[in-house]
Amino acid sequence: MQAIVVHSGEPELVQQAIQGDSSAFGELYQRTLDAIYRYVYYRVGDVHDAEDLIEQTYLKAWQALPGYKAVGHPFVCWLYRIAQNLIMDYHRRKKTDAAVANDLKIDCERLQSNLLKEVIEAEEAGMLAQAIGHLTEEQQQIILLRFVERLSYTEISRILDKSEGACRMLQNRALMALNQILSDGQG
Amino acid sequence: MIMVTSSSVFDPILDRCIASLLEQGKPVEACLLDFPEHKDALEPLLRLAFALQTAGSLQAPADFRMSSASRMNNLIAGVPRRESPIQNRWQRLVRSRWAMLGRAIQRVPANPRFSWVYVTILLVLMLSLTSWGIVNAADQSLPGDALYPVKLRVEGVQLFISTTPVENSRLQIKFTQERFIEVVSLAEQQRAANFSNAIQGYTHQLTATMATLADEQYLPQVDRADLSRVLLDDLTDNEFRLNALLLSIPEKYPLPADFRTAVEEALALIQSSCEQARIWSGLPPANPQSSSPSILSPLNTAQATTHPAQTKSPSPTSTPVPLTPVPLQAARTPSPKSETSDPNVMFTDWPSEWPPLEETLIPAPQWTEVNMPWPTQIALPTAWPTDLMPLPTIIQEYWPTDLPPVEIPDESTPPAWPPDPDEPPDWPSEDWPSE
Repeated sequence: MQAIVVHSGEPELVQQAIQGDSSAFGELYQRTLDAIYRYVYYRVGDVHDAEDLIEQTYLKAWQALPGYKAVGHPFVCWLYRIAQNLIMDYHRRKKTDAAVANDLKIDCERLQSNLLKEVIEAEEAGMLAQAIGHLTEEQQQIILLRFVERLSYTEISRILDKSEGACRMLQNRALMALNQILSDGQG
Repeated sequence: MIMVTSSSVFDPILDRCIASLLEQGKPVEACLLDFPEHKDALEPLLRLAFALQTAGSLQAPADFRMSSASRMNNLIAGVPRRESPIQNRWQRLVRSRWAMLGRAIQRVPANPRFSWVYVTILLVLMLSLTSWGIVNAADQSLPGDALYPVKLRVEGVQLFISTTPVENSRLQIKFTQERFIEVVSLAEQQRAANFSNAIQGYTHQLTATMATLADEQYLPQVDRADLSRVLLDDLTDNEFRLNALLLSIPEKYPLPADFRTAVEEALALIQSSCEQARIWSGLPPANPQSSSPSILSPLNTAQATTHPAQTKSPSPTSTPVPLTPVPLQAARTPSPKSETSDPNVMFTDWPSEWPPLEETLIPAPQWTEVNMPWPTQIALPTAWPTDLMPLPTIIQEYWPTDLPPVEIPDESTPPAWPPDPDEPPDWPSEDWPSE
């Protein structure tokens, strides 16, 4: 008979994981995997690379848990920052900016016809990821955190280390830039 | 191609519509109805925002979720965790406070509105440190130095902020002594150019101090007496040191022309201040002889007392008269020739009219023969005196009279000793009185 492990809320899980409870960390993994998966996938644009980066994110989180201090924000915010650093290292290694631009030129034609109707499927998601990949680092982050993950300005400001007013301005600029990319692809 | 131009008016509208769309779930059409004048610019952006939020439904594939979980368990078991460097609770607390301060400091420069705060704080700290350094340096300055006016200003501020008359008077006395120390320091450093100014500053400060103490309405009598004693001690020391300075300075460095006059005026002021201070403190007036001798003035002479050498002999019935020192010949006091055109020389010629030393010696006392006849022989008595008082007769009456006369043995013939030592001697039993 398999033992049933009962876990409490997220703060308690985090404390248990800090103390070395692997099952508590596993529970946190299951709860935050979708958010980190979307974040990394839309930033990287490749499924395999994204999965590797996701595993590295959680592995680094497990190693750095003893130094984690909960200050009232969700645990996933801390994971976002770890993932962000790994993605930056990934981009520096891969130098995929040129590749993303080339793919975007081809995919924008397809995106033009399907953008407003169907974006949930994996194929459209891939195209969206590639379109987002054409933005700057900060614009990508704000688009994903604000529109995809629906985080508040307070949480976003902590992740990006910016003020809430700056995050608002960055959000508008990122949305306009993304719309401009799609419009240029159409035109 | 739809061109969207951002503006200070459009950005708040767009942000408001996005907030309504994401947080309240408001449809895009409803947001467009709120701002019809911006419909053309808002619609593509809001539709894109709506499309983006639907992308949030993307989830990790189930196979990836399961496979990655097992891989994670294996990795966690094999990879050691980073131990927290903070083991002590106190260390955590301190580090957390420093971390908060560090984050606060890091964030402020990003906001240019608060940079002036740090600049202002830095300027205030720099001004405080600079002022403190200048005041400390000015405290050791002397007349003629660049920071000497700062020193006087600081003393003026101290007098201004003094709260009680006693405190003000104490500061005045302190500054008087400070002016004298400056005079001595200038002399030791051989700075003749500022010497006259220093002497003048001392006399001015002493005059001000005396005026403060003399104000009966300002200072109570009890406090005036106490402060006068303190001032008297300082002035007594100042007078002595100033006189000693006058003797040592000519050999050390040249003097200004008005140096001597200024010093003599200062000495006169000191002496008059001492007398007044004695009156205030209730002390008796100083004995002219007991006061600190003025080296420049002639030596005082005293009336000579009767010399014991005038008497021929000391009477045994009277105690010898103690000797008193013979006074010097006052008329022979030399006066130095101070008339010279060279201000750098004090004496042109050492006086040579001193009396010879032999005349100043105190003559030894001369004792004469005593005329008192001491007895040379004492006659011893040859016979017992007969005029002594007789013995009391009462004793003679109780002396037994029936005792046999005592036979005085003849020493020429020894008594007969029994030949037998074992035989007891014959006792005169027949003459023994019977009971």
